[in-house]
Amino acid sequence: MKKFLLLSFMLMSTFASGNLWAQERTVSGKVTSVEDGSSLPGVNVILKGTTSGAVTDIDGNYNLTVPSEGGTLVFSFIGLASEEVDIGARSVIDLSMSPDVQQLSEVIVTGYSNELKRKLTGSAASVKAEEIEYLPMQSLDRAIQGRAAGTQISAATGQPGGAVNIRIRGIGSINSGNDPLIIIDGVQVASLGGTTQASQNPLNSINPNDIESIDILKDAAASAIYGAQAANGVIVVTTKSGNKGGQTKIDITYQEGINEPFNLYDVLNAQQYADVRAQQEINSGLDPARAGGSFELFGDPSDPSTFDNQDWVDLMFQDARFRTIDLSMNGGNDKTTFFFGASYNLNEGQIIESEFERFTGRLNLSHRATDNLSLNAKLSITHLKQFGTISNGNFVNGPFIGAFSSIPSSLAVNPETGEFNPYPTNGINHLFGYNIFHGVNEEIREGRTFQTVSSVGATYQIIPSLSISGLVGIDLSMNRDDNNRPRSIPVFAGEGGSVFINNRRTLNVNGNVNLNYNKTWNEVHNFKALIGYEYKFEEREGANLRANQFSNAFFRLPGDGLPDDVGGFFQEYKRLGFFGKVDYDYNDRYLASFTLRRDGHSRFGSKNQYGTFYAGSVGWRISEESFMSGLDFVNDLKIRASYGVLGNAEIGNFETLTSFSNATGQYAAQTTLTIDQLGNDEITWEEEEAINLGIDFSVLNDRVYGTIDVWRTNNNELLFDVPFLQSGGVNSGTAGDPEASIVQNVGSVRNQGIDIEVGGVVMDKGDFKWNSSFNLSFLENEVTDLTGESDTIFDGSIPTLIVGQPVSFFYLLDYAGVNPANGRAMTRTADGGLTYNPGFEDGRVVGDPIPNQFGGWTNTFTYKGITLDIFFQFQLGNESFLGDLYNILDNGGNDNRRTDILNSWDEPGDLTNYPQLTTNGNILGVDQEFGFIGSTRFLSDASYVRLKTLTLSYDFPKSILEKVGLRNFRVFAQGVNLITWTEFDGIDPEVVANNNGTGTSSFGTFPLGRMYSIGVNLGL
Amino acid sequence: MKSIKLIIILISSAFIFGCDDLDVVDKSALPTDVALQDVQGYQTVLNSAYESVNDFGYYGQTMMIGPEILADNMELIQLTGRYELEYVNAVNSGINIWFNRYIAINECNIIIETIDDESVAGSVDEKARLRGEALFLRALFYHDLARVYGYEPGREVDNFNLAVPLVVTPTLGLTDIEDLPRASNVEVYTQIKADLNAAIGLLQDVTPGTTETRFASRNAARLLLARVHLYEGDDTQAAAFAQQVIIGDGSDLVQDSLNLNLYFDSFNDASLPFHPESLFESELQGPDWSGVDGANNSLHSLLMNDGGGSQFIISPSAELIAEIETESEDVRRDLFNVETLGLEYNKWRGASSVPFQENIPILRLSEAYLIAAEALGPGPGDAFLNALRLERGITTEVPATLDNVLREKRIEFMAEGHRWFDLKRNGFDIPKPAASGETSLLYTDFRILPRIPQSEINLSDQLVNNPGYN
Repeated sequence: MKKFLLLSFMLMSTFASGNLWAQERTVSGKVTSVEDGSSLPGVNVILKGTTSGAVTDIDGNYNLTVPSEGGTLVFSFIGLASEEVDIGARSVIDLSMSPDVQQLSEVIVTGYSNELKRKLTGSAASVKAEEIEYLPMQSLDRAIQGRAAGTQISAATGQPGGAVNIRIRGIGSINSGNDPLIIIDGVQVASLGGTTQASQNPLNSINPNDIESIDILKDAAASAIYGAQAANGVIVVTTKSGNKGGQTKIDITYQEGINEPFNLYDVLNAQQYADVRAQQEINSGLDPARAGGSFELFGDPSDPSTFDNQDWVDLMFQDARFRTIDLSMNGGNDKTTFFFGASYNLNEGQIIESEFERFTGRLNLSHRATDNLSLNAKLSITHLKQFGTISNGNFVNGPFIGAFSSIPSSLAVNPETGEFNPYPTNGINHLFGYNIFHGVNEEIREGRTFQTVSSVGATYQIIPSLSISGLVGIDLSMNRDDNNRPRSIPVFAGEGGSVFINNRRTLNVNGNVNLNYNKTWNEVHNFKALIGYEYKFEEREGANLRANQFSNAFFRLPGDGLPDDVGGFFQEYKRLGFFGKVDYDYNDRYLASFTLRRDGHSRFGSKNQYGTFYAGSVGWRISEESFMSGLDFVNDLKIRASYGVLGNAEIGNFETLTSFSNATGQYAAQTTLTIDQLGNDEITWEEEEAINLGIDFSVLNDRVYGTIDVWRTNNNELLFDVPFLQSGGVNSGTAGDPEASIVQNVGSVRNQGIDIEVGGVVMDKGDFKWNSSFNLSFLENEVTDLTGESDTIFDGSIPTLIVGQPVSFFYLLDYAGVNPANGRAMTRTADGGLTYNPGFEDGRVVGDPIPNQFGGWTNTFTYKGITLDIFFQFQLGNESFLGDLYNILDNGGNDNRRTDILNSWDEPGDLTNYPQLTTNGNILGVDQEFGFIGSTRFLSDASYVRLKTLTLSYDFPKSILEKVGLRNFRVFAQGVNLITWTEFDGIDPEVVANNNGTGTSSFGTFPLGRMYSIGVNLGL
Repeated sequence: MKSIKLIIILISSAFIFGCDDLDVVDKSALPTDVALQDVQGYQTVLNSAYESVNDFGYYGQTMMIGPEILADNMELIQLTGRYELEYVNAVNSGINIWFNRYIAINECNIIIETIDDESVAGSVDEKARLRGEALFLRALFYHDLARVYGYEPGREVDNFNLAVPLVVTPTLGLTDIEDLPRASNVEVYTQIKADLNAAIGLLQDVTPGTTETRFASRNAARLLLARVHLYEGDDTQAAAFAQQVIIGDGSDLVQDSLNLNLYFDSFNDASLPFHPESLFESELQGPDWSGVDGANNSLHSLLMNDGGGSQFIISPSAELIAEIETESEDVRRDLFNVETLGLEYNKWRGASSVPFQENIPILRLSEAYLIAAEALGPGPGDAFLNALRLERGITTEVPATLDNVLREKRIEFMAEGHRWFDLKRNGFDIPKPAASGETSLLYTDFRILPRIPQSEINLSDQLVNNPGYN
């Protein structure tokens, strides 16, 4: 293969020669913008049907040699509508080009090449820079939420810069990863490697304002060129490049705002709490006034002098500030263009002492060394500092649990001394004796990451129809985490405080070479071909150390204490691929495309190290047919179909290798060695078989346009941890779960759905214009096959996967409320009766966290310089388990409660869902929350519609700006997460902890805040 | 100029094409070829098999208490969940050593089958020793699997003669795992005897009662072989190997006739970390236990009332005490302490350097005397039985009838896991202590054999469960 590629390259280069015309003449002219009459540099002017052409210079002038007779010039420029002009006998042709309001010449970046959207036969969605500019989002994934059909994006945390889940067309894998492949300027970014002191997001290294376009490749035809990693979809991000505009353009944006928590739970104040505590004891047959009773511990509710009142929620949450400063410049000349970007970003968290601070710098440079050789570099650096709190921590003493459950009569700070109090002040055992306010103030949880995602590339035009290009990309991140638990916090005093330092390095390099061939015959046979080779490796490694026994809480360097623990890790994988793609169309009317890729991956055994992936697609642009010529209102109409097989390799790096490690213990003072992982040479890629049928249309002078895709994917050969015979004699199970198991290819999941995108100009009258675009996706997910003959996989006694159900679901008791006669919680039994004391067999599937519909709706109203942008985002048909209510609606125990606990059953005849209060939450020995499995009492519909962003901006008129020498000046005000319509009983239906990226429980989550900001954008 | 650019592009292309390897290294795990490159590597694998002998799921607890409480030697005095089902011989209770034994068997198989490969560095003698020790351990493990999960040859109920799958090849990759049917008891016994005979040829003698007995030795293999012959009813061979053990290495029984406290002291781990009669004893040291789990699961914790936080859930049965009391001279009467909850065994004293911890004797010389007595029977066997009785302080002589030998064995090996198997291999019904509220378990009852783990049955097309389990 290597030799073949080199050989073909050399052969082709020998054919390089120019075209000669027998008789010639010259045509020249100037290209200007229809909008403001300014000259347009960089416009391609090509003699149709040939490769002969020119590019306009700085002043928009061109000069081209053409045959003596006839001929047509094609003028094209990205972002402008292409135009064809017959030359006739003219020698001067001036042209005014208009912006491309229609979708026809929109370009989709598919990674190794670009394609005109009108010629695309696969399914892809795009988000352009202007749709996401000025959004106060730290990473691009947040910014594109709700803006692309078939792409479900949800915040995994409300922490600034925190993780985001992206699922393109559902969840195809069960054990292996579901994250899409993300490619930034040709660099395939690593999904891991950042801090663990706060929620991490691998896309934080890219300033969203540097982004030109984001293309989401959804079906097999669009993404098959990525073969073995394309099954979860591909997101291609392209950053901005410079313009040959002569004068360098400078843009400065400043934005400042607040981020306020909203919809937090109302919890009991100290008096209500004292009342509830007394009631708990009375109901359990105790006298609260006894020695050691609730009056003594929590106060007598009738006597306010017996208790203090602490509002922990108010203490822990804040209205946070955020600020973004962004500077960019772009410009260049004929040979060289550049884009320069720098930004500073500071976001405080809605939880105190959690913040995100980032600097980014970027230089994108492109240079035409000769007529045939162009060079390209996209360089970025980022420094990121996150001061975390226990984000999404499943710890009862994390802020998201502790703020609501801390005892309200326990003061966080001694009002006389100003010192932090021990927790709780009455000395009982609660939340591990950890004063959460003290903790977040004095603990250090800091992650600092330096990252670069950069690439360099070159393209050599061998002959007009053939080019070779190469690219090397690097994604390097260096991370250092500090976690300091000073001895001044009582729970850490025992070990004298501790310091934990973790240094990680992630290096991820990919390089590719490809040949591009592009030729048109007889003006109607358009042929494009691409062949290439790619190699990628990723290394992740780290070393960490921990010290304790510090003599003073001031100390934070490990050498000042005693060494306690050291550790480290190393991970790597390698992958290579050969790929090829052929596109053919007949006169822009009949389209066909075929892609083939062969990948090798170090994660798979020698027997199955290579896999072949492919896709084929066809399209028919009906609007180009002659019989459509009478239907002038149809500007574009295309139907298309694709089919292909893609791969997923997101499993552990070393699953195929048999390895030994030390067994427990010793023998005769010697070490012991046993097999800790049994290799499986047989495992191979998960395969996704994907089929897509789509239609693209644009009518009424492009006033209404849209895309509808109907799709189905079958993910087969799913990688599961499958038990094997114990008599095989190897324990590959985890510690404490000595089941022998190994990753094998079994099981299938089916996803199917419809993606709809429609948009258009709703109104265009005078200076007023209303643009609207709407996207809606329907999604269905189902496990269709599992290992062996079993149709259920259990975790203990609870099913985790069932054939016929989605890959994730809630298996709970059906809560039947409280018996009005005695205050006891009841559930329905498997056969429909009622019981006080259910078992595992009474559980059932009662919902799932995967939305059935999701999407977004953007409206842009413009009137003269005023623009109002309103964006709604929604998801419907999913449930969430409110794990946090398990604590704060408990009918027993020490936790503070949400105020609706006051509805608890009190006397016979009370109709309520809240069982009688008791000291420990049990009635007659039965946990009223059925904690062994849970009940639908805390299951909530997590459907929501959210007014996600509202932006009002004003562009000062050019007439004024010219007088002060500005290119543009815009002021804007913006709100984010302004209104939410939902039945959800928790804080935020969008943020629920992860399980397969769909969310199952709200326990310990960091909710999103509501953001208000104002900003100014200045263009010079 | 143009050619220079072309060359640059060609070179850089070739550079990318030159990257084509897919080899990776997991730095945190030892690959097979490195782990098994020399005899030292094999020794550490063998150590893992040795170490597993004192697992709580094996001789560290299950194999010592299970066979006693399933029969009539023990009473449950506190209900903690442990052994409650075994105490009443409930369905699905019983001994389960399936999983941890097959892991150790695989370690032995790796050594037996691959150590003689020329690529393994090490002397021929070293390889022979390691192979011999692995053969001995594999025999011990299959002996235990066979007697737990199947009937002894000749004692089948309804002709059910299946034992366990006989895995004798190493598993080093998933494809090595074969779905094997259960071999017959005779096939398993044949393998055990072959392994032990080979081991006897490869192993050396060791000094009883010393640290050397933590490794397999020639006499340990002989004693196990004597026992295996006895189990399958081959009395001649059983007697022959038992007598070889008795005269084989110059060791002797603990002579309590000379010193009244000697037998009592022989279980004192502080002064005698290895039992003086031990031919094979599993060594326990501090690192073998992780945290409190070790202490909680120790024999000492379950059987003795230690102020350091033991559980003390089991005491000797009234029937066992009554049996011991029938011989007033028996020094073993002193092996009990009186506690509030009842008597406690003073055998597992957990008095090594790590609290609750002690070495676990697996094969003791006393057993050779009792095997010889039983195999030779009344008359020729009397001397062996009475020699042991004498060293335990009993001067009255009795004939070596099966009843007399089993009575002696019940007492000598109380809390050492022999009782159930001695009754079962003879086809006897299992008597139960009155305190358990249970009547005797008939030998023909299906509960004599435990369930093969259901997860294993589910994964196999070949395995059948024991009768009565489905």
